[in-house]
Amino acid sequence: MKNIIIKTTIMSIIIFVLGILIGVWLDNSRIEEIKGTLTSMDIEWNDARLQSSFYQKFTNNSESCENAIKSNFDFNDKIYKEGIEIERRENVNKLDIEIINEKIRYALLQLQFWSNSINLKESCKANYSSIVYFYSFFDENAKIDQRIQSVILSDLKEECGNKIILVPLPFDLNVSTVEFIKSEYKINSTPSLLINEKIVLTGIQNKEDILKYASC
Amino acid sequence: MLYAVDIAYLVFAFITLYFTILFFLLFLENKKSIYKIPKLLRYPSMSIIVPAHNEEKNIGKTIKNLKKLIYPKNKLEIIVVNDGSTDKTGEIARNFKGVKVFDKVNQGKKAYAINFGVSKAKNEIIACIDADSFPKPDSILKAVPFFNDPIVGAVTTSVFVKEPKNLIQKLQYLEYAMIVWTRKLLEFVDGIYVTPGALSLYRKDVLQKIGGFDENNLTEDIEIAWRMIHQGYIIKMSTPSKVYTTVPSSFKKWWAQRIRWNVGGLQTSAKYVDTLFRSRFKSLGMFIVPFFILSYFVSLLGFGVFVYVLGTAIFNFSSLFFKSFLYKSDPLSLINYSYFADFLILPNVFTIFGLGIFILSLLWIFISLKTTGIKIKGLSGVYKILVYLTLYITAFPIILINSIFKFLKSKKYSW
Repeated sequence: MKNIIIKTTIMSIIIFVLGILIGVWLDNSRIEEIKGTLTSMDIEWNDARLQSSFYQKFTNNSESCENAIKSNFDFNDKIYKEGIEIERRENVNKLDIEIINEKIRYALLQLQFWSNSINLKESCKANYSSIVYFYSFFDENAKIDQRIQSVILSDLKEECGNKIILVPLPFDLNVSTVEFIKSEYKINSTPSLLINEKIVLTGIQNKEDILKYASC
Repeated sequence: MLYAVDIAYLVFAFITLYFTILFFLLFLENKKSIYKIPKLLRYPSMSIIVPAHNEEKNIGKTIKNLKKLIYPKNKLEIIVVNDGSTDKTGEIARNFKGVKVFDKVNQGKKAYAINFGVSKAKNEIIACIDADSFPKPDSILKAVPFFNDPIVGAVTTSVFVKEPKNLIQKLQYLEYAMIVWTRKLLEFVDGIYVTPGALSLYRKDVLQKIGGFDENNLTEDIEIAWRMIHQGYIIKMSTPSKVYTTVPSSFKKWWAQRIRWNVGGLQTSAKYVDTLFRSRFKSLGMFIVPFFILSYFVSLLGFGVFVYVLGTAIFNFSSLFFKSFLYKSDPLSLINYSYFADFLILPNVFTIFGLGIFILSLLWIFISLKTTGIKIKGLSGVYKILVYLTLYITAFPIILINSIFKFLKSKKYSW
């Protein structure tokens, strides 16, 4: 009996560890995918920013503004879609905490994009609304409300197209810029929306409520 | 991120994997011995005891089957214990020539009736057969050679379901075939933990030495097996000895039977828990008791995880639906956002273990059916296997929880 118990124990441990390792490998490969996506978005972002700066230097003002706004919106669409893909991957990842770092990288990219949008809005007198959506990464109790809010916002984005930009930001990942914005606008819970850098709405907001402050 | 429920799932997966590997290894190492029986050296005298309580529908058929047993007639004694029947059980049994019928007052438990039968029996080997079980003619002949070894205290047989008609019986038909396979495999680690009432053979002197069947236990067939091992005897299983038994035909009866089995199992576990990991009790302390305790644990753990995951999913989904109406969001968008689909498209460690356990369970069923010669045909067979693996197995932990409450409340039961 001893013999078979030892054999079973060894085999079970080997197979179990193998299962865990495959799990880690799958999680890691997803992280690598996210890293790759973020790197290429980083590159695209820098390219878009440079492009807009060159447009403003070499072409007439209204044309350059139009192009800069267009590439900003293109980037918004892309970053938003990639954000959903990253979220899908982070939901299934169980064994790798590196995803938090990638999430922070994504948040920084969103912040840069938002900052550029604010600049463009001012310098080009652009007529679009910005909606910054604060969500919690860790708070399980907030997940249901956040999912509802996400769906409402993506529907709104689909409906309004280039009239709004959507910037989702993780609330609790200790990103110093986010912390600064939180304290500046007194944002203490999720889901919260910051519309046009002025209005803060806390709790789930339906389309009608948002459209009171954002134009579509 | 890993949460407590995730860790519980991984613990459940490991224990399930451990037992599955144990059985597969036992199977691979002993494949050739499953149907092997020792050489018959002599015909020991045999008393067959049939305890019967209101069994007028079956008793005649059972005795007819016993009359067909291939065994020297001068070595065979058939005893029917008419256990306070209020129907024609005794009358029918008395119509058979050479059958000894003893009447007794029903005392609520089967153990009383068997002990009474044993006290009347004159022969060396005692074969206990339920009044609704039908052994094949060669079943005893193929079981007796295992008694060549003096340390063998009891021999069990392969119990199959007789003529399953409805779904609940067909599911038990599958289950019994798997039990036959696993019980034989347990023999190779001296881990047979039950000598089923459908047909089991005992040495009379051993039965008497260890004090007979426990009259306070609901599952005297489990308790007697544990006590035999506790006293240093071993139990063998004769796979070629086949007996067909009647099983509950309704969900209610099945449920009541399983509660009784579980409460009896808990009574026995509580009685022998002090042997846990004590090597002087050999396989009882080192295998059977830990196996039982772990199976209770894994059953409750698995069910806990299942209820938590399902409960959370239902709660989340209904909250999402409710709130989506409240906030005038499109509920269909929420359906599209499916976590379940992602777990298949983007597999993680849980998908691996979940699929692994499911595939191993299927393999387990197919090997046990193949080994026991049970044939499952076509789509209806696949359907039964799927129902077995999902609904039927899910009921076990619920029965266990119910039984634990009943056991703790020390509710009185009768057979």
